[in-house]
Amino acid sequence: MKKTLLIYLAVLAGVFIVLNFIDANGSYEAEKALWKINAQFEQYTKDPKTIPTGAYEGIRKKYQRFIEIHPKSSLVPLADLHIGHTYMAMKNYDKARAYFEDFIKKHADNPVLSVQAAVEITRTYALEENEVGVTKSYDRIIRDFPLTDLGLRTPMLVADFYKHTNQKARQQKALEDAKAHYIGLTAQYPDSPVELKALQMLANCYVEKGEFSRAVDALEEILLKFSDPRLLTPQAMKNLVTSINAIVITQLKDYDRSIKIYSRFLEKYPDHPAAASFKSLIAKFEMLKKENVSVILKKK
Amino acid sequence: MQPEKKVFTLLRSAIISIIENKIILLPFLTIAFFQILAIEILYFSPKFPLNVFFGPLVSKLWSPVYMHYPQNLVFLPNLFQNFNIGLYLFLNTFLICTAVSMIGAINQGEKADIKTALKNLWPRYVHIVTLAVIIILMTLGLDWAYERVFRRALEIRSQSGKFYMLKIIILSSKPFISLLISVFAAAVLAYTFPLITLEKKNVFKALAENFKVLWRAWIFTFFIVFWPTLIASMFFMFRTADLTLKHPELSIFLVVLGLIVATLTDAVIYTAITTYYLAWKESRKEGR
Repeated sequence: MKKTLLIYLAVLAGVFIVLNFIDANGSYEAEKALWKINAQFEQYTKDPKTIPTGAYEGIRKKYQRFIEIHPKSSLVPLADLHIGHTYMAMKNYDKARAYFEDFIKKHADNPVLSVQAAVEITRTYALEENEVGVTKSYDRIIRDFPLTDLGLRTPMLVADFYKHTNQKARQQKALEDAKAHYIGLTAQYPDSPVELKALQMLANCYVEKGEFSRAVDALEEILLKFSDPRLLTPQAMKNLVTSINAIVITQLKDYDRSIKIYSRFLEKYPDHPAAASFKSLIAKFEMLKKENVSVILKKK
Repeated sequence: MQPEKKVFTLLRSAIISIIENKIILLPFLTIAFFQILAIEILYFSPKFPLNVFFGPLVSKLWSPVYMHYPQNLVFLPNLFQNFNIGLYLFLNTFLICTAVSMIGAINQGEKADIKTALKNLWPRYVHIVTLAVIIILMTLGLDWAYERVFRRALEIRSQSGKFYMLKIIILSSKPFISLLISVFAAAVLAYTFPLITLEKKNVFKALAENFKVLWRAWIFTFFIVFWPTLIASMFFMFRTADLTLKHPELSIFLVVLGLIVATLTDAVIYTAITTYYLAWKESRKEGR
Protein backbone atom coordinates (compact mmCIF):
# COMPACT_ATOMS: atom_id res chain seq x y z
CA MET A 1 0.00 0.00 0.00
CA LYS A 2 2.84 2.41 0.89
CA LYS A 3 4.37 1.85 -2.54
CA THR A 4 1.05 2.61 -4.27
CA LEU A 5 0.58 5.79 -2.23
CA LEU A 6 4.12 6.92 -3.06
CA ILE A 7 3.37 6.36 -6.75
CA TYR A 8 0.15 8.43 -6.44
CA LEU A 9 2.02 11.26 -4.70
CA ALA A 10 4.82 11.15 -7.27
CA VAL A 11 2.31 11.31 -10.16
CA LEU A 12 0.45 14.25 -8.58
CA ALA A 13 3.67 16.12 -7.85
CA GLY A 14 5.08 15.34 -11.30
CA VAL A 15 1.96 16.54 -13.12
CA PHE A 16 1.91 19.70 -10.99
CA ILE A 17 5.56 20.50 -11.65
CA VAL A 18 5.36 19.80 -15.40
CA LEU A 19 2.16 21.83 -15.94
CA ASN A 20 3.51 24.63 -13.76
CA PHE A 21 6.71 24.98 -15.78
CA ILE A 22 5.22 24.65 -19.25
CA ASP A 23 4.27 28.09 -20.53
CA ALA A 24 5.66 29.66 -17.34
CA ASN A 25 5.57 33.20 -18.80
CA GLY A 26 2.39 32.72 -20.80
CA SER A 27 -0.74 34.84 -20.81
CA TYR A 28 -2.33 33.01 -17.86
CA GLU A 29 0.71 33.59 -15.66
CA ALA A 30 0.63 37.25 -16.70
CA GLU A 31 -3.05 37.51 -15.74
CA LYS A 32 -2.30 35.94 -12.39
CA ALA A 33 0.67 38.20 -11.68
CA LEU A 34 -1.22 41.37 -12.63
CA TRP A 35 -4.29 40.34 -10.58
CA LYS A 36 -2.08 39.92 -7.52
CA ILE A 37 -0.49 43.35 -7.92
CA ASN A 38 -3.93 44.89 -8.52
CA ALA A 39 -5.35 43.15 -5.43
CA GLN A 40 -2.54 44.56 -3.28
CA PHE A 41 -3.00 48.03 -4.78
CA GLU A 42 -6.75 47.87 -4.15
CA GLN A 43 -6.12 46.81 -0.57
CA TYR A 44 -3.87 49.85 -0.04
CA THR A 45 -6.32 52.30 -1.62
CA LYS A 46 -9.15 50.99 0.58
CA ASP A 47 -7.39 52.10 3.73
CA PRO A 48 -4.67 54.61 2.74
CA LYS A 49 -4.05 55.74 6.34
CA THR A 50 -2.66 52.40 7.49
CA ILE A 51 -0.31 51.64 4.61
CA PRO A 52 3.45 51.73 5.16
CA THR A 53 5.49 54.55 3.62
CA GLY A 54 6.66 53.84 0.14
CA ALA A 55 3.90 51.26 -0.42
CA TYR A 56 2.60 52.91 -3.59
CA GLU A 57 6.14 53.29 -4.88
CA GLY A 58 6.57 49.55 -4.27
CA ILE A 59 3.38 48.85 -6.24
CA ARG A 60 4.61 51.08 -9.07
CA LYS A 61 7.86 49.12 -9.22
CA LYS A 62 5.88 45.88 -9.33
CA TYR A 63 3.90 47.10 -12.34
CA GLN A 64 7.16 48.16 -13.97
CA ARG A 65 8.65 44.73 -13.31
CA PHE A 66 5.50 43.09 -14.68
CA ILE A 67 5.99 44.99 -17.97
CA GLU A 68 9.63 43.87 -18.08
CA ILE A 69 8.80 40.19 -17.45
CA HIS A 70 5.78 40.02 -19.77
CA PRO A 71 6.64 42.49 -22.55
CA LYS A 72 4.46 40.72 -25.13
CA SER A 73 1.39 40.33 -22.91
CA SER A 74 -1.83 42.04 -23.98
CA LEU A 75 -2.08 43.23 -20.35
CA VAL A 76 0.96 45.51 -20.64
CA PRO A 77 -1.15 48.64 -21.48
CA LEU A 78 -3.30 47.93 -18.42
CA ALA A 79 -0.23 47.68 -16.17
CA ASP A 80 1.05 50.86 -17.81
CA LEU A 81 -2.22 52.65 -16.95
CA HIS A 82 -1.96 51.41 -13.37
CA ILE A 83 1.47 53.02 -13.05
CA GLY A 84 -0.35 56.31 -13.65
CA HIS A 85 -2.86 55.31 -10.98
CA THR A 86 -0.03 54.81 -8.45
CA TYR A 87 1.04 58.45 -9.02
CA MET A 88 -2.58 59.45 -8.44
CA ALA A 89 -2.62 57.45 -5.21
CA MET A 90 0.56 59.27 -4.14
CA LYS A 91 -1.34 62.53 -4.89
CA ASN A 92 1.37 63.43 -7.40
CA TYR A 93 -1.19 64.64 -9.94
CA ASP A 94 1.22 66.51 -12.21
CA LYS A 95 3.35 63.42 -12.64
CA ALA A 96 0.22 61.30 -13.16
CA ARG A 97 -1.00 63.64 -15.91
CA ALA A 98 2.42 63.63 -17.59
CA TYR A 99 2.43 59.84 -17.44
CA PHE A 100 -1.07 59.58 -18.94
CA GLU A 101 -0.12 62.07 -21.67
CA ASP A 102 2.83 59.83 -22.56
CA PHE A 103 0.47 56.88 -22.56
CA ILE A 104 -1.86 58.63 -25.01
CA LYS A 105 1.08 59.33 -27.34
CA LYS A 106 2.32 55.74 -27.02
CA HIS A 107 -1.13 54.33 -27.92
CA ALA A 108 -2.19 56.98 -30.39
CA ASP A 109 -3.21 54.28 -32.86
CA ASN A 110 -5.62 52.74 -30.30
CA PRO A 111 -8.31 55.26 -29.26
CA VAL A 112 -10.08 52.72 -27.02
CA LEU A 113 -6.92 52.51 -24.88
CA SER A 114 -5.85 56.13 -25.03
CA VAL A 115 -9.30 57.47 -24.12
CA GLN A 116 -8.94 55.68 -20.78
CA ALA A 117 -5.82 57.70 -20.03
CA ALA A 118 -7.67 60.87 -21.08
CA VAL A 119 -10.45 59.98 -18.61
CA GLU A 120 -7.84 59.48 -15.89
CA ILE A 121 -6.44 62.95 -16.62
CA THR A 122 -9.96 64.31 -16.03
CA ARG A 123 -10.08 62.43 -12.74
CA THR A 124 -6.81 64.01 -11.59
CA TYR A 125 -8.34 67.47 -12.15
CA ALA A 126 -11.52 66.40 -10.36
CA LEU A 127 -9.45 65.20 -7.39
CA GLU A 128 -7.73 68.60 -7.30
CA GLU A 129 -11.19 70.24 -7.60
CA ASN A 130 -9.91 72.07 -10.65
CA GLU A 131 -13.13 72.81 -12.55
CA VAL A 132 -11.42 74.43 -15.53
CA GLY A 133 -9.15 71.42 -15.89
CA VAL A 134 -12.11 69.02 -15.72
CA THR A 135 -14.12 70.82 -18.40
CA LYS A 136 -11.11 71.28 -20.67
CA SER A 137 -10.29 67.63 -20.28
CA TYR A 138 -13.87 66.60 -21.06
CA ASP A 139 -13.84 68.82 -24.14
CA ARG A 140 -10.67 67.15 -25.29
CA ILE A 141 -12.25 63.66 -24.92
CA ILE A 142 -15.29 64.76 -26.95
CA ARG A 143 -13.01 66.27 -29.61
CA ASP A 144 -10.30 63.59 -29.84
CA PHE A 145 -12.19 60.38 -29.03
CA PRO A 146 -15.78 61.03 -30.08
CA LEU A 147 -16.59 57.51 -31.28
CA THR A 148 -15.26 55.48 -28.34
CA ASP A 149 -17.72 54.36 -25.65
CA LEU A 150 -16.17 56.73 -23.13
CA GLY A 151 -16.11 59.53 -25.70
CA LEU A 152 -19.78 59.00 -26.43
CA ARG A 153 -20.66 59.14 -22.75
CA THR A 154 -18.60 62.23 -21.98
CA PRO A 155 -21.14 64.94 -22.99
CA MET A 156 -23.51 63.44 -20.43
CA LEU A 157 -20.69 63.20 -17.89
CA VAL A 158 -20.13 66.94 -18.28
CA ALA A 159 -23.82 67.53 -17.46
CA ASP A 160 -23.52 65.14 -14.51
CA PHE A 161 -20.46 67.04 -13.26
CA TYR A 162 -22.45 70.31 -13.18
CA LYS A 163 -25.41 68.56 -11.58
CA HIS A 164 -23.24 67.25 -8.74
CA THR A 165 -21.58 70.62 -8.27
CA ASN A 166 -25.03 72.27 -8.08
CA GLN A 167 -24.60 74.45 -11.18
CA LYS A 168 -28.08 74.15 -12.66
CA ALA A 169 -27.72 76.65 -15.49
CA ARG A 170 -24.48 75.09 -16.63
CA GLN A 171 -26.05 71.65 -16.36
CA GLN A 172 -28.89 72.71 -18.68
CA LYS A 173 -26.38 74.22 -21.12
CA ALA A 174 -24.33 71.00 -21.03
CA LEU A 175 -27.49 68.97 -21.71
CA GLU A 176 -28.31 71.18 -24.70
CA ASP A 177 -24.74 70.73 -25.99
CA ALA A 178 -24.99 66.99 -25.45
CA LYS A 179 -28.29 66.85 -27.33
CA ALA A 180 -26.81 68.73 -30.29
CA HIS A 181 -23.72 66.51 -30.19
CA TYR A 182 -25.73 63.27 -30.28
CA ILE A 183 -28.12 64.52 -32.98
CA GLY A 184 -25.05 65.48 -35.01
CA LEU A 185 -23.57 62.01 -34.60
CA THR A 186 -26.82 60.28 -35.68
CA ALA A 187 -26.80 62.37 -38.87
CA GLN A 188 -23.09 61.81 -39.45
CA TYR A 189 -23.09 58.02 -38.92
CA PRO A 190 -26.50 56.73 -40.02
CA ASP A 191 -27.34 53.02 -39.66
CA SER A 192 -24.14 52.31 -37.73
CA PRO A 193 -23.36 51.18 -34.16
CA VAL A 194 -22.36 54.82 -33.52
CA GLU A 195 -25.91 55.93 -34.36
CA LEU A 196 -27.30 53.23 -32.06
CA LYS A 197 -25.13 54.40 -29.12
CA ALA A 198 -25.80 58.08 -29.90
CA LEU A 199 -29.56 57.44 -29.85
CA GLN A 200 -29.25 55.68 -26.49
CA MET A 201 -27.35 58.64 -25.08
CA LEU A 202 -29.85 61.05 -26.66
CA ALA A 203 -32.69 59.23 -24.89
CA ASN A 204 -30.80 59.58 -21.57
CA CYS A 205 -30.30 63.24 -22.33
CA TYR A 206 -34.05 63.78 -22.90
CA VAL A 207 -34.90 61.93 -19.69
CA GLU A 208 -32.49 64.17 -17.79
CA LYS A 209 -34.13 67.23 -19.35
CA GLY A 210 -37.59 65.89 -18.49
CA GLU A 211 -38.59 65.60 -22.17
CA PHE A 212 -40.04 62.11 -21.80
CA SER A 213 -41.98 61.97 -25.05
CA ARG A 214 -38.82 62.75 -27.03
CA ALA A 215 -36.94 60.13 -25.01
CA VAL A 216 -39.52 57.52 -26.07
CA ASP A 217 -39.14 58.72 -29.68
CA ALA A 218 -35.40 58.06 -29.52
CA LEU A 219 -35.92 54.63 -27.95
CA GLU A 220 -38.55 53.78 -30.57
CA GLU A 221 -36.11 54.73 -33.31
CA ILE A 222 -33.55 52.31 -31.85
CA LEU A 223 -36.12 49.53 -31.67
CA LEU A 224 -37.33 49.97 -35.23
CA LYS A 225 -33.95 50.63 -36.79
CA PHE A 226 -31.64 48.22 -34.94
CA SER A 227 -33.64 45.03 -34.47
CA ASP A 228 -30.73 42.85 -35.71
CA PRO A 229 -29.63 40.79 -32.66
CA ARG A 230 -25.98 41.36 -33.66
CA LEU A 231 -26.46 45.07 -32.96
CA LEU A 232 -29.18 44.96 -30.32
CA THR A 233 -28.60 41.82 -28.23
CA PRO A 234 -31.66 40.16 -26.60
CA GLN A 235 -30.58 41.57 -23.23
CA ALA A 236 -30.14 45.08 -24.71
CA MET A 237 -33.57 44.81 -26.34
CA LYS A 238 -35.07 43.74 -23.00
CA ASN A 239 -33.49 46.77 -21.30
CA LEU A 240 -34.76 49.04 -24.06
CA VAL A 241 -38.34 47.73 -23.74
CA THR A 242 -38.12 48.09 -19.94
CA SER A 243 -37.06 51.74 -20.39
CA ILE A 244 -39.92 52.44 -22.83
CA ASN A 245 -42.46 50.81 -20.50
CA ALA A 246 -41.14 52.61 -17.44
CA ILE A 247 -41.38 56.03 -19.11
CA VAL A 248 -44.78 55.31 -20.67
CA ILE A 249 -46.30 53.99 -17.43
CA THR A 250 -44.76 56.35 -14.88
CA GLN A 251 -44.35 59.58 -16.83
CA LEU A 252 -46.54 59.70 -19.94
CA LYS A 253 -49.38 57.46 -18.66
CA ASP A 254 -50.24 56.91 -22.31
CA TYR A 255 -50.57 53.16 -22.89
CA ASP A 256 -51.52 53.68 -26.54
CA ARG A 257 -48.00 54.94 -27.10
CA SER A 258 -46.47 51.56 -26.17
CA ILE A 259 -49.15 49.69 -28.13
CA LYS A 260 -48.35 51.77 -31.23
CA ILE A 261 -44.57 51.26 -30.88
CA TYR A 262 -44.82 47.49 -30.48
CA SER A 263 -47.46 47.21 -33.25
CA ARG A 264 -45.15 49.09 -35.62
CA PHE A 265 -42.34 46.74 -34.66
CA LEU A 266 -44.50 43.67 -35.40
CA GLU A 267 -45.60 45.17 -38.69
CA LYS A 268 -41.97 45.74 -39.72
CA TYR A 269 -40.52 42.48 -38.33
CA PRO A 270 -43.35 39.90 -38.14
CA ASP A 271 -40.88 36.98 -37.91
CA HIS A 272 -38.54 38.50 -35.30
CA PRO A 273 -37.65 36.06 -32.45
CA ALA A 274 -39.09 38.57 -29.96
CA ALA A 275 -42.41 38.90 -31.84
CA ALA A 276 -44.31 36.69 -29.37
CA SER A 277 -43.19 38.72 -26.36
CA PHE A 278 -44.20 41.97 -28.10
CA LYS A 279 -47.67 40.50 -28.80
CA SER A 280 -48.00 39.59 -25.13
CA LEU A 281 -46.82 43.11 -24.13
CA ILE A 282 -49.50 44.68 -26.38
CA ALA A 283 -52.14 42.43 -24.73
CA LYS A 284 -50.93 43.53 -21.29
CA PHE A 285 -51.09 47.23 -22.22
CA GLU A 286 -54.61 46.69 -23.66
CA MET A 287 -55.60 45.19 -20.30
CA LEU A 288 -54.00 48.09 -18.41
CA LYS A 289 -55.95 50.49 -20.61
CA LYS A 290 -59.26 48.71 -19.85
CA GLU A 291 -58.53 48.64 -16.10
CA ASN A 292 -57.68 52.34 -16.21
CA VAL A 293 -60.92 53.16 -18.04
CA SER A 294 -63.00 51.19 -15.52
CA VAL A 295 -61.25 52.95 -12.60
CA ILE A 296 -62.05 56.34 -14.16
CA LEU A 297 -65.70 55.32 -14.75
CA LYS A 298 -66.03 54.09 -11.17
CA LYS A 299 -64.65 57.38 -9.87
CA LYS A 300 -67.24 59.24 -11.97
CA MET B 1 -32.60 -11.36 16.42
CA GLN B 2 -31.83 -8.00 14.77
CA PRO B 3 -28.20 -6.73 15.04
CA GLU B 4 -27.53 -3.83 17.42
CA LYS B 5 -28.44 -0.43 15.99
CA LYS B 6 -26.12 1.95 17.81
CA VAL B 7 -24.84 4.53 15.36
CA PHE B 8 -21.74 5.73 17.22
CA THR B 9 -20.75 2.22 18.36
CA LEU B 10 -20.85 1.02 14.76
CA LEU B 11 -18.97 4.10 13.47
CA ARG B 12 -16.32 3.59 16.17
CA SER B 13 -15.88 -0.07 15.33
CA ALA B 14 -15.62 0.88 11.62
CA ILE B 15 -12.82 3.36 12.44
CA ILE B 16 -11.01 0.71 14.53
CA SER B 17 -11.44 -1.78 11.70
CA ILE B 18 -9.88 0.68 9.22
CA ILE B 19 -6.96 1.42 11.59
CA GLU B 20 -6.31 -2.30 12.01
CA ASN B 21 -6.73 -3.02 8.28
CA LYS B 22 -5.37 0.04 6.50
CA ILE B 23 -5.64 -1.75 3.18
CA ILE B 24 -9.39 -0.89 3.23
CA LEU B 25 -8.37 2.72 2.57
CA LEU B 26 -6.56 1.90 -0.66
CA PRO B 27 -9.62 1.94 -2.99
CA PHE B 28 -10.81 5.19 -1.37
CA LEU B 29 -7.37 6.77 -1.65
CA THR B 30 -7.35 5.72 -5.31
CA ILE B 31 -10.63 7.63 -5.75
CA ALA B 32 -9.04 10.65 -4.03
CA PHE B 33 -5.98 10.31 -6.28
CA PHE B 34 -8.08 10.51 -9.46
CA GLN B 35 -10.18 13.37 -8.05
CA ILE B 36 -7.10 15.41 -7.09
CA LEU B 37 -5.53 14.63 -10.48
CA ALA B 38 -8.73 15.95 -12.13
CA ILE B 39 -8.55 19.13 -9.99
CA GLU B 40 -4.88 19.54 -10.93
CA ILE B 41 -5.71 19.29 -14.62
CA LEU B 42 -8.64 21.70 -14.28
CA TYR B 43 -6.46 24.08 -12.26
CA PHE B 44 -4.01 24.32 -15.15
CA SER B 45 -6.72 24.19 -17.84
CA PRO B 46 -6.38 27.91 -18.85
CA LYS B 47 -2.64 27.33 -19.52
CA PHE B 48 -1.00 25.92 -22.62
CA PRO B 49 -1.25 23.06 -23.67
CA LEU B 50 -4.47 22.22 -21.77
CA ASN B 51 -6.20 25.41 -22.95
CA VAL B 52 -6.18 24.02 -26.50
CA PHE B 53 -8.79 21.50 -25.36
CA PHE B 54 -10.48 23.31 -22.46
CA GLY B 55 -10.60 26.79 -24.00
CA PRO B 56 -13.26 26.04 -26.66
CA LEU B 57 -15.08 23.59 -24.37
CA VAL B 58 -15.48 25.94 -21.38
CA SER B 59 -16.17 28.96 -23.62
CA LYS B 60 -18.90 27.15 -25.50
CA LEU B 61 -20.58 25.38 -22.56
CA TRP B 62 -20.24 28.16 -19.97
CA SER B 63 -18.34 31.39 -20.61
CA PRO B 64 -14.88 32.44 -21.88
CA VAL B 65 -14.54 34.39 -18.61
CA TYR B 66 -13.87 31.09 -16.83
CA MET B 67 -10.63 30.67 -18.77
CA HIS B 68 -9.14 33.69 -17.00
CA TYR B 69 -7.63 34.21 -13.56
CA PRO B 70 -9.19 34.28 -10.92
CA GLN B 71 -12.65 33.44 -12.34
CA ASN B 72 -11.32 30.05 -13.42
CA LEU B 73 -10.67 29.20 -9.76
CA VAL B 74 -14.09 30.48 -8.68
CA PHE B 75 -15.62 28.22 -11.32
CA LEU B 76 -13.28 25.25 -10.76
CA PRO B 77 -15.47 23.43 -8.16
CA ASN B 78 -18.49 23.57 -10.53
CA LEU B 79 -16.39 22.29 -13.41
CA PHE B 80 -14.99 19.57 -11.15
CA GLN B 81 -18.53 18.49 -10.17
CA ASN B 82 -19.21 17.78 -13.85
CA PHE B 83 -16.02 15.75 -14.17
CA ASN B 84 -16.74 14.01 -10.90
CA ILE B 85 -20.04 12.69 -12.29
CA GLY B 86 -18.02 10.88 -14.97
CA LEU B 87 -15.53 9.63 -12.38
CA TYR B 88 -18.36 8.46 -10.11
CA LEU B 89 -20.05 6.57 -12.94
CA PHE B 90 -17.06 4.67 -14.25
CA LEU B 91 -14.54 4.56 -11.41
CA ASN B 92 -15.62 5.65 -7.93
CA THR B 93 -18.57 3.24 -7.57
CA PHE B 94 -16.44 0.35 -8.82
CA LEU B 95 -13.72 1.20 -6.29
CA ILE B 96 -16.27 1.53 -3.46
CA CYS B 97 -17.48 -1.98 -4.35
CA THR B 98 -13.84 -3.12 -4.31
CA ALA B 99 -13.53 -1.76 -0.78
CA VAL B 100 -16.79 -3.49 0.23
CA SER B 101 -15.43 -6.76 -1.16
CA MET B 102 -12.23 -6.31 0.89
CA ILE B 103 -14.22 -5.51 4.06
CA GLY B 104 -16.28 -8.68 3.44
CA ALA B 105 -13.09 -10.73 3.14
CA ILE B 106 -11.67 -9.23 6.36
CA ASN B 107 -14.93 -10.01 8.20
CA GLN B 108 -14.64 -13.62 7.10
CA GLY B 109 -11.08 -13.77 8.41
CA GLU B 110 -9.56 -13.84 4.91
CA LYS B 111 -6.69 -11.74 3.62
CA ALA B 112 -7.91 -8.58 1.89
CA ASP B 113 -6.17 -8.01 -1.42
CA ILE B 114 -7.11 -5.24 -3.84
CA LYS B 115 -5.95 -7.14 -6.95
CA THR B 116 -8.11 -10.20 -6.09
CA ALA B 117 -11.07 -7.93 -5.26
CA LEU B 118 -10.76 -6.07 -8.57
CA LYS B 119 -10.44 -9.34 -10.50
CA ASN B 120 -13.52 -10.84 -8.80
CA LEU B 121 -15.57 -7.68 -9.32
CA TRP B 122 -14.76 -7.06 -12.96
CA PRO B 123 -17.63 -9.30 -14.23
CA ARG B 124 -20.04 -7.20 -12.07
CA TYR B 125 -18.91 -3.92 -13.70
CA VAL B 126 -22.12 -3.39 -15.74
CA HIS B 127 -24.28 -3.81 -12.60
CA ILE B 128 -22.08 -1.40 -10.65
CA VAL B 129 -22.23 1.25 -13.38
CA THR B 130 -26.03 0.81 -13.58
CA LEU B 131 -26.21 1.36 -9.82
CA ALA B 132 -24.08 4.51 -10.21
CA VAL B 133 -26.45 5.77 -12.92
CA ILE B 134 -29.45 5.20 -10.62
CA ILE B 135 -27.77 7.02 -7.71
CA ILE B 136 -26.79 9.97 -9.92
CA LEU B 137 -30.25 10.23 -11.47
CA MET B 138 -31.84 10.14 -8.02
CA THR B 139 -29.49 12.84 -6.67
CA LEU B 140 -29.98 15.05 -9.74
CA GLY B 141 -33.76 14.49 -9.53
CA LEU B 142 -33.85 15.52 -5.86
CA ASP B 143 -31.63 18.55 -6.59
CA TRP B 144 -33.94 19.53 -9.45
CA ALA B 145 -37.02 19.20 -7.24
CA TYR B 146 -35.39 21.29 -4.49
CA GLU B 147 -34.34 23.91 -7.05
CA ARG B 148 -38.01 24.21 -8.12
CA VAL B 149 -39.08 24.65 -4.50
CA PHE B 150 -36.28 27.21 -3.97
CA ARG B 151 -37.31 29.23 -7.03
CA ARG B 152 -40.95 29.13 -5.96
CA ALA B 153 -39.93 30.38 -2.51
CA LEU B 154 -38.09 33.31 -4.14
CA GLU B 155 -41.39 34.36 -5.70
CA ILE B 156 -43.19 34.58 -2.34
CA ARG B 157 -43.94 38.27 -1.79
CA SER B 158 -45.30 38.13 1.78
CA GLN B 159 -43.41 40.27 4.27
CA SER B 160 -44.86 38.47 7.31
CA GLY B 161 -46.96 35.45 8.28
CA LYS B 162 -46.63 31.74 7.55
CA PHE B 163 -45.68 32.09 3.86
CA TYR B 164 -42.93 34.55 4.77
CA MET B 165 -41.65 32.10 7.42
CA LEU B 166 -41.72 29.31 4.84
CA LYS B 167 -39.73 31.47 2.41
CA ILE B 168 -37.10 32.28 5.03
CA ILE B 169 -36.78 28.62 6.06
CA ILE B 170 -36.38 27.41 2.46
CA LEU B 171 -33.93 30.14 1.44
CA SER B 172 -31.73 30.05 4.52
CA SER B 173 -31.50 26.27 4.79
CA LYS B 174 -30.15 25.69 1.26
CA PRO B 175 -26.69 24.32 2.29
CA PHE B 176 -28.26 22.04 4.90
CA ILE B 177 -30.93 20.74 2.51
CA SER B 178 -28.27 20.07 -0.15
CA LEU B 179 -26.39 18.07 2.48
CA LEU B 180 -29.57 16.16 3.41
CA ILE B 181 -30.24 15.36 -0.24
CA SER B 182 -26.78 13.86 -0.73
CA VAL B 183 -27.06 11.93 2.56
CA PHE B 184 -30.53 10.66 1.62
CA ALA B 185 -29.37 9.53 -1.85
CA ALA B 186 -26.39 7.70 -0.34
CA ALA B 187 -28.38 6.15 2.53
CA VAL B 188 -31.42 4.97 0.61
CA LEU B 189 -29.32 2.73 -1.67
CA ALA B 190 -26.47 2.01 0.79
CA TYR B 191 -26.98 -1.77 1.02
CA THR B 192 -27.02 -2.30 -2.75
CA PHE B 193 -23.21 -2.06 -2.66
CA PRO B 194 -22.68 -5.13 -0.43
CA LEU B 195 -25.57 -6.93 -2.15
CA ILE B 196 -24.05 -6.54 -5.63
CA THR B 197 -20.50 -7.15 -4.39
CA LEU B 198 -20.82 -9.87 -1.77
CA GLU B 199 -24.03 -11.64 -2.83
CA LYS B 200 -23.33 -11.19 -6.57
CA LYS B 201 -26.93 -10.13 -7.15
CA ASN B 202 -27.92 -8.26 -10.26
CA VAL B 203 -28.62 -4.57 -9.76
CA PHE B 204 -32.44 -4.83 -9.69
CA LYS B 205 -32.53 -7.76 -7.27
CA ALA B 206 -29.98 -5.91 -5.15
CA LEU B 207 -32.24 -2.84 -5.09
CA ALA B 208 -35.22 -4.91 -3.94
CA GLU B 209 -33.17 -6.66 -1.26
CA ASN B 210 -31.66 -3.28 -0.21
CA PHE B 211 -35.09 -2.01 0.80
CA LYS B 212 -35.65 -5.14 2.92
CA VAL B 213 -32.54 -4.32 4.96
CA LEU B 214 -33.42 -0.62 4.99
CA TRP B 215 -37.00 -1.29 6.08
CA ARG B 216 -36.14 -1.92 9.73
CA ALA B 217 -33.07 0.32 9.91
CA TRP B 218 -33.68 3.40 7.79
CA ILE B 219 -33.16 6.03 10.51
CA PHE B 220 -30.09 4.16 11.72
CA THR B 221 -28.71 3.95 8.17
CA PHE B 222 -29.47 7.62 7.57
CA PHE B 223 -27.39 8.64 10.59
CA ILE B 224 -24.57 6.24 9.71
CA VAL B 225 -24.20 8.28 6.53
CA PHE B 226 -25.17 11.65 8.03
CA TRP B 227 -22.58 12.14 10.80
CA PRO B 228 -19.41 11.44 8.77
CA THR B 229 -20.81 13.43 5.79
CA LEU B 230 -21.48 16.39 8.08
CA ILE B 231 -17.83 16.42 9.18
CA ALA B 232 -16.63 16.31 5.55
CA SER B 233 -19.01 19.03 4.42
CA MET B 234 -17.64 21.44 7.06
CA PHE B 235 -14.44 21.73 5.01
CA PHE B 236 -16.45 22.83 2.00
CA MET B 237 -18.38 25.34 4.13
CA PHE B 238 -15.14 27.22 4.96
CA ARG B 239 -14.84 27.96 1.25
CA THR B 240 -16.90 31.13 0.98
CA ALA B 241 -17.21 33.35 -2.11
CA ASP B 242 -15.36 36.11 -0.25
CA LEU B 243 -12.44 33.83 0.58
CA THR B 244 -12.30 32.59 -3.02
CA LEU B 245 -12.08 36.13 -4.37
CA LYS B 246 -9.45 37.21 -1.84
CA HIS B 247 -7.30 34.05 -1.85
CA PRO B 248 -8.22 31.96 -4.94
CA GLU B 249 -5.47 29.37 -4.43
CA LEU B 250 -6.34 28.87 -0.75
CA SER B 251 -9.95 28.10 -1.67
CA ILE B 252 -8.76 25.36 -4.07
CA PHE B 253 -6.53 23.98 -1.33
CA LEU B 254 -9.64 23.77 0.89
CA VAL B 255 -11.47 21.84 -1.86
CA VAL B 256 -8.60 19.33 -2.05
CA LEU B 257 -8.50 19.04 1.74
CA GLY B 258 -12.28 18.53 1.75
CA LEU B 259 -11.91 15.74 -0.83
CA ILE B 260 -9.32 13.96 1.32
CA VAL B 261 -11.57 14.21 4.39
CA ALA B 262 -14.57 13.05 2.30
CA THR B 263 -12.48 10.04 1.20
CA LEU B 264 -11.78 9.10 4.80
CA THR B 265 -15.41 9.57 5.87
CA ASP B 266 -16.59 7.50 2.89
CA ALA B 267 -14.26 4.74 4.05
CA VAL B 268 -15.87 4.88 7.51
CA ILE B 269 -19.42 4.95 6.07
CA TYR B 270 -18.99 1.97 3.74
CA THR B 271 -17.08 -0.04 6.36
CA ALA B 272 -19.94 0.59 8.80
CA ILE B 273 -22.63 -0.20 6.21
CA THR B 274 -20.92 -3.43 5.13
CA THR B 275 -20.32 -4.48 8.74
CA TYR B 276 -23.99 -3.86 9.57
CA TYR B 277 -25.13 -5.70 6.44
CA LEU B 278 -23.00 -8.74 7.33
CA ALA B 279 -24.37 -8.72 10.90
CA TRP B 280 -27.93 -8.43 9.52
CA LYS B 281 -27.28 -11.38 7.19
CA GLU B 282 -25.87 -13.42 10.08
CA SER B 283 -28.90 -12.60 12.24
CA ARG B 284 -31.22 -13.79 9.46
CA LYS B 285 -29.33 -17.07 9.22
CA GLU B 286 -29.62 -17.54 12.99
CA GLY B 287 -33.32 -16.67 12.81
CA ARG B 288 -33.89 -19.52 10.37
